[in-house]
Amino acid sequence: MSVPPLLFLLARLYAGAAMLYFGARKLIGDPVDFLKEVRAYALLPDQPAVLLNLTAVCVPVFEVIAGVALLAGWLRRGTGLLSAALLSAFSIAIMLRVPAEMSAQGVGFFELAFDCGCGSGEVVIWSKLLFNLSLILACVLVFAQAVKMRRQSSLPR
Amino acid sequence: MKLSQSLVGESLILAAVTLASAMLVNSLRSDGLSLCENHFLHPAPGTGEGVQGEALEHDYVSWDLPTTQEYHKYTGDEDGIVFLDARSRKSYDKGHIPNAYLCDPYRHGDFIPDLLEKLKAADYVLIYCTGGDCEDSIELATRLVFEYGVPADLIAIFDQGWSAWVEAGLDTEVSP
Repeated sequence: MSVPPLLFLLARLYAGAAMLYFGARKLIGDPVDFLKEVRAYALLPDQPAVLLNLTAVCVPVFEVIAGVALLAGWLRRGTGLLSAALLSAFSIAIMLRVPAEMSAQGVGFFELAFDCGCGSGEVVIWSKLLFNLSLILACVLVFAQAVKMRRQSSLPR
Repeated sequence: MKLSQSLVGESLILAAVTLASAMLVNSLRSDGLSLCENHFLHPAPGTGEGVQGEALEHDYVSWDLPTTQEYHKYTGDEDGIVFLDARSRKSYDKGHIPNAYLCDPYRHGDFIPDLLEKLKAADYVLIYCTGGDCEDSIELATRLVFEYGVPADLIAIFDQGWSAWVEAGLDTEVSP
């Protein structure tokens, strides 16, 4: 099944704009706020502190760089793959936090809302996960198209 | 060059550019993080242990809104009650409880040393943050007690925080 080239372009622009927007939101804010959000996921230990701090410092910058690269069409394989991997890791981290938040707030999954540290404040979680899934698919499409083009260009003529 | 090699190459370029840019941005911004410092002295929820492996938890006295209001009358320079605002400078500048000192626990070195003498001589030190799930008050209390030696029984926490103070329509102060 062939995918129209326009769809690849739209996927790249969609993923690039979203990465750039959320990265910039995090960069503009107080880095301590994002650091607290990263810690709230309890995926990294407090010690050595450099792990948490480096994650909080690097993630927003990566998102901005990946966003610009996707929009400009640079390093599409690496950007598509790393962005999809990062978004998948975020989404899994959010899902792991869901049971505790549901229990703390006393609400069901579809009413659950909290600040996931994604750069958009408090959000309804099921819609955030759906949004992340659409971004992951877009990044996978970007990656797949870049790989396909690479293979075609390396075929003997 | 094989596809896998070029993919790894692109990923490494991105990682290197990200790391270099992140270090540069963090060093240039005035509110950048100190990378080797543990900004959280208070134990992570459920661990019960602090950064040195010793128990750093303490049951601080909790004040409700009426009690906080009552003690607020004695926050003048000659009185013995000190109010500390544990929110960020940005939030503090937008509005805070009158006579409260800004004391961001994540940048404690900029605030606590100047206030330490006053805090140790106080009858009570009341700490507040936003309210609700906010843990900045307890982080500041932990920092004051376990790092700066302020007696724990001097400290009280206003759990309902800034949001309750504003909702009650009480006086606020904006930084000039």
